[in-house]
Amino acid sequence: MVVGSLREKCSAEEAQSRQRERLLDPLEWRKGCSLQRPEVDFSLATKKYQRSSAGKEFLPEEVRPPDICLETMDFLMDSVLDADDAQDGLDGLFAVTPSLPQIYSYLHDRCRAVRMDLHLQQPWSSRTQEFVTCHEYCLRFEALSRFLFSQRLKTTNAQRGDAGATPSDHYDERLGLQAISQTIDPLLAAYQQAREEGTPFENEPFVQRLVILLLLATSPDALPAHLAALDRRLVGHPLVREAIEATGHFLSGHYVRFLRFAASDLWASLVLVDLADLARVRLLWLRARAYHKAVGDRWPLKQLAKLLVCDAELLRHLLVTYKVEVVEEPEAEAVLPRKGAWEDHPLFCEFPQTAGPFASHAHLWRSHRLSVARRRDAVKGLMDPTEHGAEKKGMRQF
Amino acid sequence: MAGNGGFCRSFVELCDLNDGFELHKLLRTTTGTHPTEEDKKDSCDDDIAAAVVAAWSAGDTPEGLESALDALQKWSNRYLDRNAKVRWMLTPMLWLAARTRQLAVQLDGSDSRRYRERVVEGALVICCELLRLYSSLGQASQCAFVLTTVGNASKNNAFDAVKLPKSLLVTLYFLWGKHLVMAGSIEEAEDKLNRALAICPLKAARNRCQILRYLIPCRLRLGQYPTQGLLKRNDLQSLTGIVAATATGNVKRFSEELEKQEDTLICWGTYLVVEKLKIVAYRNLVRHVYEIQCELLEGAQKVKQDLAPFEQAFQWQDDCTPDETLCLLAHLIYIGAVRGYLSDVHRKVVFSKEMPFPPVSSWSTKA
Repeated sequence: MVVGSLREKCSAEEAQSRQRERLLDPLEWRKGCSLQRPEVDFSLATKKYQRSSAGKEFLPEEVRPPDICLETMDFLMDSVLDADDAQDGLDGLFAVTPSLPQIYSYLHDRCRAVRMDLHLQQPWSSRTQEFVTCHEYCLRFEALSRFLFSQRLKTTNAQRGDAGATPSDHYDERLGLQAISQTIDPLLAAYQQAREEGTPFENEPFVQRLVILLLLATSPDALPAHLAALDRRLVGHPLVREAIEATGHFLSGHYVRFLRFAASDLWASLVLVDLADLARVRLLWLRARAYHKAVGDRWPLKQLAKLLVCDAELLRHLLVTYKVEVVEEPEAEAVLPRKGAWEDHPLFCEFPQTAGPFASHAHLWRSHRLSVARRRDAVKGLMDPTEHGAEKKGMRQF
Repeated sequence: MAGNGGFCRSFVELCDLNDGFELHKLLRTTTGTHPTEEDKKDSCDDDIAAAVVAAWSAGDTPEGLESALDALQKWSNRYLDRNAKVRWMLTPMLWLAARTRQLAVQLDGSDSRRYRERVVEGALVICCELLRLYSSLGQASQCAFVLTTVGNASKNNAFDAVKLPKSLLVTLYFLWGKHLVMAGSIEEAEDKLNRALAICPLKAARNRCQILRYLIPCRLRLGQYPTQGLLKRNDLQSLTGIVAATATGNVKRFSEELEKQEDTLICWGTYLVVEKLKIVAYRNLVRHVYEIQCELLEGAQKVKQDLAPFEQAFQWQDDCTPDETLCLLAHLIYIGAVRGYLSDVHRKVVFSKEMPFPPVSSWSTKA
C-alpha cells in the first residue's frame, strides 16, 4: 500500500531535472529568466504526468498525499486557470501570459498527474474528501473545457475574424471525453463506497446530475442502463430527478420543456448547449411543417424568442440561417415560407439530426457573462445548482 | 520429422541452446506429416514438446486443436517467466500461434454441421451469460455485438430455433428483447418479448412477470392496452394508472403516475420507454377535445376548429402555455398522430376529413 510522502506540488529533483532537459512548461518559468535557458520557479512548478509502464515502481517520496494533491488542485484552479487574464508586468504571477489553449494543455496534464497520485494510493485514498474534491474539480474543468473548445466556437471566432490561435487547436474532444470518463469512474466508485458505509459525500447528487447530462449529450444509448444502475435514494433527489425528467423531455420530443431546463443553470447550459441548439432547430422545423404550405403562416418574434429560450439576436441568427423572412411592421414576425419556396428550403429537408451551422456559443458566453473569475468559481463548485434551487423553480416555471 | 533421437529430444536440445531458428524448422516438420514410432516413443520430460507431439498425432481434429492451444499457452507462460534472453523464443511462438489459428479456421470451415449443431446450444448459453454480464457491468453497448452475431447465425440457418431447449430460447429472447427496449427499437423488442412469453410456461410466474414488465410498455407504444386481469395476475398493478391515463388521454394523471412509478421504472430500465407514452396520452387528449367540439359545432366548423379549447385542455392537464400547445400539436402532426395542419394567424387547427387520428401502431415508431 503506497502512502505518499512528497509534501510539495513538485519535487525539487523533478523540477531541476526538467530544467536541465528543457522540459519546463512556460507556466513554471521564473519571472525574468532568460527565454533561451529558462529556470524553474519552484513555487509554480507542479508535478508532470508520467505514464506508468510495466515494472515501474513509484516511490512514496515521488507521490503526493491527498492533502497535497488538493493543495495542488487549488493552486492550479486559483492561479493557472485564469492566467490568460493576468496582466504583464510585476503583478502577474507567471513569466508569460499564456493563451487559453496553453492553459488547457497544462492543466489537463497536471490534473492527470494529480489523479495518478491519488490512484496509486488506493484503496485508502478514495475514502478521503480530498480524493473526491480533486476528482470533482477535474470533472468540472474538463466539462467546462469541452464547451470552451468546441468546434463551433472556432467557427464563430473565424467568422468574427479573430487573429491568433483558435481555441480548438489544442483540444481533441475524444481525449477530453476520455479524461471525463477517467475522472468519473473512480469518483462514482468513491461515492458508492461512502454511501455503503453510511457517510455519503455532499456533492454526489450534483455530480450524478452532471453525468446524466453528459451521457445525454454524448452517449444517449447508454442512458437506460446507467439510470437502472443508480441508487434509488439518488433517483429521488431533486437535482437528479430534474436531470432524468429533462432527458425524457428531449428524447420524447418535448423540446420546450427541455429548453427551459437547459437554460436553468450554468452547468446545464454548458453541457447541453449542442442539444439545446438542436432542440431550437427542431422546434422551428416542426412548426414549419405543421401549417398549410399554400397559405403560409406568421409567428411573432417575441413569442418565438420566449419559446426557444433565446434572446432576439440569437433568434434572428437562427432565422437567417434557416432562410426565414422577418417582417418588422407592425410587429416583428417570422414569415414561414410558402409552397413555392419549399422544394429545397432548409426547413423542408429531413428531420434535423444536428444544429448545422447555427452557433450559439458566443451567445451563451455573453448571456452568462462567464468572465475569467466565474470560470474559476464554476470549476471549484461555487456555481453548482442546489437542491433548494431545483425544488423552488420546478420544471414548469420560467 | 525429427532429427536424430526423436522429436522430444531434439526439442529439448534446441531449447537448451536457445536456438529459436532451428526450433522453428523442427516445428515446421510436423505440418502435414505424421509422427514416426520413434517420435511417439521418445520420452517427453518437456511438457511443451509432449503437447506438440499430441497435437501432431491427433492431426486436424478438435483434440489436435486443444493440444496445440495447450502448447502455445505453456510456451507463452515460459516466455513470460524468463527474465532474460527471451528473444530466441519468438520465432517458435510465431509457428505455435499460426498453427492454432490455421487449425481453428480449418475446423470451422470443414463439413462439421453436426459438430456445429452440437455446440450451438453451448454457444447460445455463453451468449446469454455475456449479455447478463455486460448489463451488470453497465456496458450495454457491447450487447449489440453479441446479438448481431446471434442474429446473423439465425438468418444463415446456423441453428434451428425450434430444436433448441425452450428454457434457453426464453432466456435468449427475453435478454434480446430487453436490450432492444433499452435501445428504443420497440417493434423488434415487442417481437422478441412476444416470442419469449409464448414459450414461457404458465407456471413460471416470476419469469412471465419479468417479460411483461418490458413487453407491456412496448405494446402500449403500439396502441395495445393490457387488461386489468393480466396486470393483476402478473403482479404489475403498478402499471394500471399509466395504462388507464394513456388510454383515456388523462395527461395529468399520466404525469402523476409516472412520477409515482419513476423509481421502479428506472430500476427496470423502462422509464424512457414509458415516458414516451405521454405523446400517446396527448394524442388521445386532442382526440377527446376534437370529439367534444364536433358535437357542439356544425358543418365545416367540425374540421376547422379553434385553437382555444385545445389550449385550455393542455393548460388544465399539463400547465402548457398556448405556444407550448402549438408546438405539441405540431409534433403530433409531424409524427402522424394527428392528420391536419395549424394556422397561428387564424388561430385554427384544421383536421383531415378522413381519419384525422390514425391508429397508434401506424405512427408509434416515429414518436
